[in-house]
Amino acid sequence: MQLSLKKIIFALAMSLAPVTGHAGNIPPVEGPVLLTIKGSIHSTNNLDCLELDLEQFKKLPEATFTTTTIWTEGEVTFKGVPLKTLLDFAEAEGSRIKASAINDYTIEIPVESITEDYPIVAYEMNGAPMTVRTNGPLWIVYPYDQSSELQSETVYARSIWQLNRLEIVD
Amino acid sequence: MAPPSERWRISQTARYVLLSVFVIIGLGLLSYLASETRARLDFLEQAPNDNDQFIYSQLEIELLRLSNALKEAESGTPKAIAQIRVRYDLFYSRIYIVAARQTQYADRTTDTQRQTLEDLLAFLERTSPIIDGPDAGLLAALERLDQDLQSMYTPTRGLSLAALAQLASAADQHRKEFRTLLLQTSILSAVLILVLGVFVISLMRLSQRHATLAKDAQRTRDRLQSTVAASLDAVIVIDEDSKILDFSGAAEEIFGYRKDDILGKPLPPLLIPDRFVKAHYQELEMVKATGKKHRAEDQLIHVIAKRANGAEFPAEASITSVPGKRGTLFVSFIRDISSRLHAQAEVVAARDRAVEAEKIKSDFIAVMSHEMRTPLNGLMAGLELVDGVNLTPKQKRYLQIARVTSKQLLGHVNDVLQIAELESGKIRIKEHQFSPVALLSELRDANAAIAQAKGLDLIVEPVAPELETVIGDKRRIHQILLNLLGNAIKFTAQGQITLRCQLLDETDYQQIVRFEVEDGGAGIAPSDQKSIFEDFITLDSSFQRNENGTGLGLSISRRLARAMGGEVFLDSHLGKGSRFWAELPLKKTTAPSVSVAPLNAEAPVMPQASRQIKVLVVEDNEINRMIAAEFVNVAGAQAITAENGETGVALAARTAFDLILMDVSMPVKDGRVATREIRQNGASKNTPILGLTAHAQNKDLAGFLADGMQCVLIKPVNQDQIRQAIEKHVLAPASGRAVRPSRHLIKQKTVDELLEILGREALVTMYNRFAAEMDTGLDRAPDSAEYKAEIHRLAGTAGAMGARLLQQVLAEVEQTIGDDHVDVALLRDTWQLTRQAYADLGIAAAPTG
Repeated sequence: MQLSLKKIIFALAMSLAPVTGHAGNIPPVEGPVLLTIKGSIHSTNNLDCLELDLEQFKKLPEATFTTTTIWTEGEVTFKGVPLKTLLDFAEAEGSRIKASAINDYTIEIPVESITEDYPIVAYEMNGAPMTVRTNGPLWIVYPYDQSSELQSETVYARSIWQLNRLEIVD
Repeated sequence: MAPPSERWRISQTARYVLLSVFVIIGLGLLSYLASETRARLDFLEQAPNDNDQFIYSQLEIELLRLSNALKEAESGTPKAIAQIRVRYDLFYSRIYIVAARQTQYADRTTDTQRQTLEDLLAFLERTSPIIDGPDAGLLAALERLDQDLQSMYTPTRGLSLAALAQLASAADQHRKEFRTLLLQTSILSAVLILVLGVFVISLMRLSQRHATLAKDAQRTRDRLQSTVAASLDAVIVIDEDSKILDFSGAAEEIFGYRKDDILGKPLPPLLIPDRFVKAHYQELEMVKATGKKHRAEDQLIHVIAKRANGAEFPAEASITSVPGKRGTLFVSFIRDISSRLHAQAEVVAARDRAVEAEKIKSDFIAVMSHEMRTPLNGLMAGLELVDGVNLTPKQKRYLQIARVTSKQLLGHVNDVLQIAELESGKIRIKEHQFSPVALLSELRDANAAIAQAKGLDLIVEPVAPELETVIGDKRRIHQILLNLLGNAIKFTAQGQITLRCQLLDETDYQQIVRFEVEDGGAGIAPSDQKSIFEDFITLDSSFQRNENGTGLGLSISRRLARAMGGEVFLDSHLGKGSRFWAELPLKKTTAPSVSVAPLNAEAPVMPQASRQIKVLVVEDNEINRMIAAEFVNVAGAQAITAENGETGVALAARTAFDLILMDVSMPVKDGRVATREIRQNGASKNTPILGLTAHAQNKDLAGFLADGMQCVLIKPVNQDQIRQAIEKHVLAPASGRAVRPSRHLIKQKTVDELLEILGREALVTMYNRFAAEMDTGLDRAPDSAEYKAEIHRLAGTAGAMGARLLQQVLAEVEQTIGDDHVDVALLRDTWQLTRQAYADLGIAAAPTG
């Protein structure tokens, strides 16, 4: 492996992380990056972004619910991290979240529409991790069956699958 | 058919029911539509459809992106290969989303769509091993993959286009249905609003009607109030406990209480005298308990009421019971009749005074008739007798003068007394059959000589056959006509005087008959035509010698005519003559004409007696005695005279006379006493006794008959009467003919009629019943209220039976009930006599004892 300047600086910066405060207090990911959060956040682990892998996700508090959806058959059980928790983890300060998918589908979610319980960023469906082919690896889902309000166009639109980026704005 | 308000109410109820049903149905429909709308809205909210399009278009995009990636991977760089795999995964996931969709909405999925999905799934199955395999293999298969993918392009496009079409039509359908739904809802709402509007209008009208009704009720109430207030009678309303609920203004006046003071207080102690209070409460209790009507309901009762100051007064009261909210209310109307009673008392007093005056007048007549006629009787009779004896022509002339003047005097006296009689209403119109033709003929015959002397023609016109016989008071009609004819003769110098009788009008029961005297005299000036009917007016003052020179003739004639229900008329023209006539309503006679002996018939030949008839004449007045005796002699009997009752009794005791003529009023012993004594014992114990009197009132008659007289003759008595008396009382019984009871006692005509109509048997039964009633009636105490009523009834029956005197006595007794003296004895005597009379007629059994 060639030692690039970039890498050296990065290593140094990382070793200095505890001294420099928030920035860089979350260790960098080791596995493949599932989600990249950038924007008005304070917790980062890669320059001004916060990258998370599956390991990281699993370390965070989880939430589970069962529901039917218009894209699946029958009832499915989703396990994931509440979006709010994620935002807190990222120390996000903003009113809008721009969520984007692998195919560049982007949707805006107002922070005030997010509750403690929903939506969640799901990484497991029916006990198994989701692949791209099965709308994974990350899917923002709501407990649609819970209320007719969660069965609206807006909510469906916010139920972004193949999620890979969050940008906090405002 | 129900009254208008009833009908209105019924239709109103029907209307309400109808409307309610309609509204309920409407609401039901509306709620159904609402739920439908909701369902649709829910459906809209879920909005699954719109997403369909996005999913299909996304699929298309990923397909194209994959295709791009495949093309770019021809360079073989690792990045490009990685990109293929990413794009493939994305494409993959899209297909599975579509699969999930199609499963969820299988009913909406067309076969084409299903087929396309099948193809796509098959593609995945084919290609995923290659993608998942090593890079080299992938690179080698690039072209093949791309071609395969291209074949998927059109179907995939088809999917999204089909979805679009579906969406469009579904949306349209949905829109249409929703529109219809909204329309239905709107219409239904509109209709319901309309109905509710109708409801509201109805309610408004209802409330208006109620307002009107309330106003009407108020108006009626006001009117009633003012009616009650205006009434002069006291209007008092009490409840079942006699508490005063209402007290009109008139009541305040009459009783002297103020309404405010007396409301709510009990009525009896305040308005009813103490002694009647209990009865009032008892009556009210009875009404409450039995529900019967109060005795004052539907009729007026007389009560004594009490004013506020304690004064009692007579009142008339009536009551109406009205159902009230709590029990019955009694509305009483009370009128203070003290002034009315006072007025009544005054009227009664005035009537009594008038009756008294009448009595005095009739007494006067009685006295006058006796005082005046008795000497006249003697005078005239004497003159009559003198006339028969040989006289010198000079004596004859003087005698003539005396006779004429005495006749005149008698005429005057009779006229005056008759007027007095007519005025006092004592006149009794008789009714018997007579022939007008005969009457007119008599008049002509009687006055023929005088008329001839004056050179006047006296003619009687023929009378229509319907007037062959009439029923009326012949004597009085005769008097009227005689007066009219006399006047005609007096005031006609020459020419013709015509007597006629015409029928003017007739009904089933009556004929209006005109008796007329027409003369060709000088006529009467219009100015005199009225006054000649007045008392004491005569147009001829020079003529003193004729009969009726008093000037009373016409006035008497008119009075007589009026007494008979008719009138006297005059039609006269100066220079042409006069017509006087009387129009009289006379009863029709249906009986065939009875031949009535004309007045001036030849004196019937006295049937010869086998021996000399002995007649006792008891009369204190010498002249009258002489005259009577002479009359007897002329009649063919022997007259024995007695100058007082004593002698008469003595003679009667010694000799059995055939007839006794007994003057009633004599000194020492009057005729009645004498009669009684003769009846006791003696030879003439059973001799018929006829009383002679100048005046005979009913009670006198009864007394005479009770004493034992058979008949009473009114003085002055003439020859004819003496003769008839002998015939009736002496000769008839002697020859075996039935003795008829005294005409004073029994009206023979009535009995004959009863016999004819009822037959003897029924008449006897009727008589027996009557006799029984008389006996019981006489036994009663004369001072009870029933007595008076009974007497009254008996008087009627007696009259119907023809018991003339009994009826009159009963009537008098009825009158005198209430005075101290009721002549029961007279009544008893009269009854006895009547009984005997009926026995004589064979209708009653002879009375015992």
